Amino acid sequence: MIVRGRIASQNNNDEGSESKERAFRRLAFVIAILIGLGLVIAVRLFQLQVVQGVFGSGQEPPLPNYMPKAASHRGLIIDRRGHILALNIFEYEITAAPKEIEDPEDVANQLSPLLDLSPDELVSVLDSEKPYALLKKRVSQEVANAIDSLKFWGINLEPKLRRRYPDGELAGHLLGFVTYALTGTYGVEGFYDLRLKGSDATSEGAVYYPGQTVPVAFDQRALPQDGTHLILTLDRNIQHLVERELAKAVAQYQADGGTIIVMVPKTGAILAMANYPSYDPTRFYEALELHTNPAVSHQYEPGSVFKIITMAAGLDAGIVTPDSTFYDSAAIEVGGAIIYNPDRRAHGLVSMTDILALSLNVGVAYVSTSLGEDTFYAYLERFGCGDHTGIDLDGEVAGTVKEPGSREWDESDLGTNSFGQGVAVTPIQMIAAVAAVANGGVLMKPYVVERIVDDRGVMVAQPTVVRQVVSVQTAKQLTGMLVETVERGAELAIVPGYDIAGKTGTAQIPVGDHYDPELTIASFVGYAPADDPRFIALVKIDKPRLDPWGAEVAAPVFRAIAERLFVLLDVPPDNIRLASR
Amino acid sequence: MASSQKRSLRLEKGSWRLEAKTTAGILLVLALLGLLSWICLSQASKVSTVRYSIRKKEAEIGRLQRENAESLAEVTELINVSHLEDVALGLGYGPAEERRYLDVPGYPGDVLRGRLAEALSMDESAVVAPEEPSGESRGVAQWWEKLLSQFVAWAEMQP
Repeated sequence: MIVRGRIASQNNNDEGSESKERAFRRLAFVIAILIGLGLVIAVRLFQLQVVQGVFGSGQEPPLPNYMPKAASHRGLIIDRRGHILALNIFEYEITAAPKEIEDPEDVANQLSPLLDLSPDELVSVLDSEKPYALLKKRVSQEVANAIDSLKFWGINLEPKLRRRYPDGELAGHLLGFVTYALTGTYGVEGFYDLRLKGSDATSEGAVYYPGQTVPVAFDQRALPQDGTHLILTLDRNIQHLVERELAKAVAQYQADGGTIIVMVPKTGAILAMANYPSYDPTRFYEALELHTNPAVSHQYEPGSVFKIITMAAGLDAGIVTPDSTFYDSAAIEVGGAIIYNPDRRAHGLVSMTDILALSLNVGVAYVSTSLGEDTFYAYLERFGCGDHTGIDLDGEVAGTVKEPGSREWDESDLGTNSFGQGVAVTPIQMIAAVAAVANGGVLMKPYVVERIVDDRGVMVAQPTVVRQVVSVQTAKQLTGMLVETVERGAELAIVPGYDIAGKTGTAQIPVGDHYDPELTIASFVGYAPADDPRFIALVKIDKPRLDPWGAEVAAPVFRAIAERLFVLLDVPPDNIRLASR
Repeated sequence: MASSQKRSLRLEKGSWRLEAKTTAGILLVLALLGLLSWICLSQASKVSTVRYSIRKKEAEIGRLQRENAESLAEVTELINVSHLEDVALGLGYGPAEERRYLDVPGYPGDVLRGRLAEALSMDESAVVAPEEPSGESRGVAQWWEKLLSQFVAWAEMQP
């Protein structure tokens, strides 16, 4: 029994070792298969990554040193003749990943002349364990190309979009500028910022370096959308002419500055808008105090130019006609205040045309008081005084007209407001209001962008009628009176061969609760040809020290501009133009 | 005792048989996983290769756009209004001192008017008589004649 048991036990041991051996063989087989599979995958990986070379041969970086995320390009700004006024250039930020640089001294020696930094300075930055270091900002395309050709691993070039204005200061205020954060500010850049900037590409995915996603990551992307291009109503040649004449006048009369606007009265399209002093929007950071556009953002008391509005109201309301007469005794009392003529003289019996031609304060005060406060201020409102014009430029401010009956308003304001005192307008408001007279009584909304061009097509801006402020008849009568006004009171604005309608202004400047005894704002607003106006121009010279009068300071500037405008806009003299009809 | 030993042996054999099946299953799963890995790797490889080539092209497009922008800026600066004015003044050009508007005879309406008059006053004998026009073409001819005469009348009224 015991023996049998031993035999059985031995048999069991034999079978156990045999089955263990079989198990080992199976295990070895499984391991061999696993190793085989691993080898297959390893071979495939080797094939993919090394032989096919997703990451190249390893000799040099297969990609340029910069792979910026796809960015949208800001739209161009172009004048009405097709000249580019604002475009994009690229500057580069040179950065380094010092940990990845094998030979910092060699890299520093080669980069030193390109970056205009000493080798020691560069070595101190590159020979470290930092993951990131900024070497230089605002590097030009040329230098960036030279650095890129060196193919240094660990040196990166990050392109940065910058706005450039090739004509320098030309139309600087109107264009505005773009900050380093690529935000449009002031002018057209500010007003149309969202349209101009477009949208950058969006992506989600693993990032292996700032701004760089891992190529195998399954990211979702939206393609970048470039900004729209803007074609302005502005004419570069006219703008240049206007800026030159303005600068000349400011220097000639030792003025503080000035503004000139040229507009098409029938549409409201701005042909030129100049301010002096101006600034180059490319270097916007050098002129922080000049960023606001005085043509749309600075109020001033317009003075006698405003008599056009008062007379338009008087004619339209039927209170007076061009030939109505009034006895001018040199002064008139309105609301307890005595209003005098600028020359302090009595002119006796004068017509309404005489009142404009001689610029008699007493005469227009008579008109405004005859109208009464309700009607007079209602007309001012209709002309857009005290309101925004709605021009498509950033930073427009409304004018200031005291509301009759309010605490600030005084009865005497009815008299002083009639000749542009105690009422504040912006230059764009003033020219838009007078343009309504030139345009048969129709007030147009001024605008500077004529077309918006994008991938979907071209959107053409249509001139916008604000309202009919006075009748066609009134506008016609007033134009006739203004032609006579220029002939009698602003001879220096006359261009031989052309009928010009216009009015001078010599406005006192309020300083606290009184007016500056010496300094003035000399201005002239005029349009031509009077019967079919092709342009209207407002000239405003601030604080001319050699001569305070609008008729002597601003009128000649208008003439210099008008002479050239007739050529640039192809307007023949009146006799030829009218004969060809 | 013997029967219990036999049972344990059968159990042992049974467990080995079970292990063989499991092994086969594992192998099958591993083979499938291997196959899936292969396919996945291949696809990922293709995706990454394509993505990589796209990014290279994007980088190339970006480079070209930047160079284009630089060239555009250079050209635009060369034709900026101040520069052009300087060049023009250097070449002796300048704003006109005096302008005269001239009546240019025969420009351009007069030329056209002359040609039309000439065409209409052609000697009839020099013209091959056309076939009698059909009703429809007669209508067209009349319309054309009327239009022509209107145009001549209009042209004659021009200065």
